[in-house]
Amino acid sequence: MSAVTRIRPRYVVTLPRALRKRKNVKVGDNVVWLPVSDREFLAVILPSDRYQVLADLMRGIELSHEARLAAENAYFSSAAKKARH
Amino acid sequence: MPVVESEFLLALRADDRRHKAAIAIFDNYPALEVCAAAFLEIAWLLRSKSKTPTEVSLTLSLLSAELENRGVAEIPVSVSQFGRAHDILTRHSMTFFDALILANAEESRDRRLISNDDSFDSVGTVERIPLR
Repeated sequence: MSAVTRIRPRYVVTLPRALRKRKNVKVGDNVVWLPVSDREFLAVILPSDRYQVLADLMRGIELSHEARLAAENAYFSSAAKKARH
Repeated sequence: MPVVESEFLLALRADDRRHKAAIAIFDNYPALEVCAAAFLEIAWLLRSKSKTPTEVSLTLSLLSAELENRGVAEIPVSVSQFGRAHDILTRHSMTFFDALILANAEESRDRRLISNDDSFDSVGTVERIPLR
């Protein structure tokens, strides 16, 4: 399935009908645009309850001292790996 | 204007025990700033839990969009803040991300940080407002 839509004034774009039906997209849902290249975006459609979406995306994440140290270790070990190459 | 950090960003989750407190912060403080360093910490908390790069990107985009919609200004991370963070680490016991967040928050207008993390208190450069 492919479709072309025109960017209207104020950069408004309508989601193609075929896409709306096929993907069960609802008015009020969130569209997150992730840049892929200069002319490409990945559009991710998420439910309207953004706080619930955040709960799903960040499930299991905590801010204990141990969790913070694990994040810090992941960050520095990644940097060290790059430095070795 | 007070500054929010990682704890606040996590509290935006619907099921977080401080979610109501976070929403109340939006209502009680019409002008807020956010430490960009907090996004770095959130990204690496997610990475350390094996979240995919797309999931990390989605999460940061949603958080950023929420704060932008609420008019929360971002304090960018700078090279001098990285230096300052390491300076803090030589004198105080805290994680690197905490030190970077503190260095970031020190550049806010009124140096008030919304956080329950009392490790910031030992440095004494910001006034901490508990997130309750």
